[in-house]
Amino acid sequence: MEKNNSGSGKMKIITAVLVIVTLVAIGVSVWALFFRSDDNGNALLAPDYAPVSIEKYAEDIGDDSASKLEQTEGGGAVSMSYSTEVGISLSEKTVSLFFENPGKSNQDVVIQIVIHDTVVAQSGRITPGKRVTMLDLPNNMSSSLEEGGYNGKIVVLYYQPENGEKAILNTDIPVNINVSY
Amino acid sequence: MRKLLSVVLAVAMICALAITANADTLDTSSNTASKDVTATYVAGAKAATVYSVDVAWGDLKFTYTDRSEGVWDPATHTYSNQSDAVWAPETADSNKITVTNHSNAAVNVAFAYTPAEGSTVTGTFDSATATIPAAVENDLANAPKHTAVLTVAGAITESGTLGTVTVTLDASEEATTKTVTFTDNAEMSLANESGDVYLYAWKDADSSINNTWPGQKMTKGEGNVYTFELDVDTYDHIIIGNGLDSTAGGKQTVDIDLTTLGGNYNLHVSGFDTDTGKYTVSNS
Repeated sequence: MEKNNSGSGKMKIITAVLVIVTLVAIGVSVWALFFRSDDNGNALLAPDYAPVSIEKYAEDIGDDSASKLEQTEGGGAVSMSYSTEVGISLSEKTVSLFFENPGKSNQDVVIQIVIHDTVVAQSGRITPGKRVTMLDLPNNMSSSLEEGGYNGKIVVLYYQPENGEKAILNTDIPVNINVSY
Repeated sequence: MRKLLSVVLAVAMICALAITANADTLDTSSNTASKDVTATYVAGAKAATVYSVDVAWGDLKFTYTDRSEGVWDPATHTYSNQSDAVWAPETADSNKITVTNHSNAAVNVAFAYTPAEGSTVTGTFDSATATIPAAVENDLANAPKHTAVLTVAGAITESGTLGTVTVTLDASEEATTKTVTFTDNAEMSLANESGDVYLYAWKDADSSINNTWPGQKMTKGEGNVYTFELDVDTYDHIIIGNGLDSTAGGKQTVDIDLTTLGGNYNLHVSGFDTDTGKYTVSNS
């Protein structure tokens, strides 16, 4: 009788320890997935080489017949059309904007939406002849932004179409960003 | 009694059948009538601002030739033909960046150089900021542009990336007041005996004017140069003249359409139109 009581007591202790360990592991996993922030608070960094994936929301502008801009060897030439008004919907998790990389450009483009030095959204590769009017807003940004107006900017990064190498010149476009739910 | 009542009723009916005309003024002496023709002005919709900009850059490559010690002369224990370290762009266009504005609004452009991490090389632009005027309608070939040239300084001991260049494109609140400069000349002078020149301005769309004819006196500057600060948002046409009536020796230019002048207003008398009796102008 004594031996059985001692055995069941040990089992209870082991079970309790296993439950506690399991709960701690679950808690760590939840924290790592949803609450851990990246270094410097930036979720997105400018890629040194153009992303392989084309921006999924890119649409044809329809100016394929445009002749290319003149550029010096090793340099670059790009045309862009844009709006200085950007909208962010926290409920839809989308960014509304207008940006075109016309067919006469010689560079692929990646654009970043930046608020207070934080990249809140970033496109895939936008090739010449493409237009973007919407981007996805990352989950962590939709939970960290508040409704209101912000002075932000569109950062335009350029990449060689042949090898994806990033140009050492980029463009900043100050924009008004309206965040709403 | 019955007859009297019938007469009264008949007269009343006749009066009721009379038609009264109130609209036109009938001039019985000449048998004419007149009526004002009126119109209601509705301003046209203003075009939305469309920003469209080209950015072109050279390869942004430089060669750094370090200081040359020269040639040792054992006879004098000195070096000769020494040379200082020097930076040079790879090609004539390597360090140039050109921004062309195709927008229907002015754009402020700024060029900035940021050294790479660990680099002590600095970079400066000869013209780091500028306001590029809006593109002119129907003049695609002469889209306004601005070019900046990058110069680097400092020393390096190995090849590599020096830094990055950022071109900032900002919407410009372009000043609506512009200086209209008129340079008179002795052969075809528009100044009156007092040396005064007048500027009359108006806007075609709503006929607003800066003043009743002959307008406002221009400011006389050095020599025969006259200036006038004009709100080019409010007015789009001007006439420059001596302020006198045509019967008293009045002289004036033809109607000058400011929207065709490309944003700069440096006017000179260029000739005389005998058909209209008015002076033509050129803009430089």
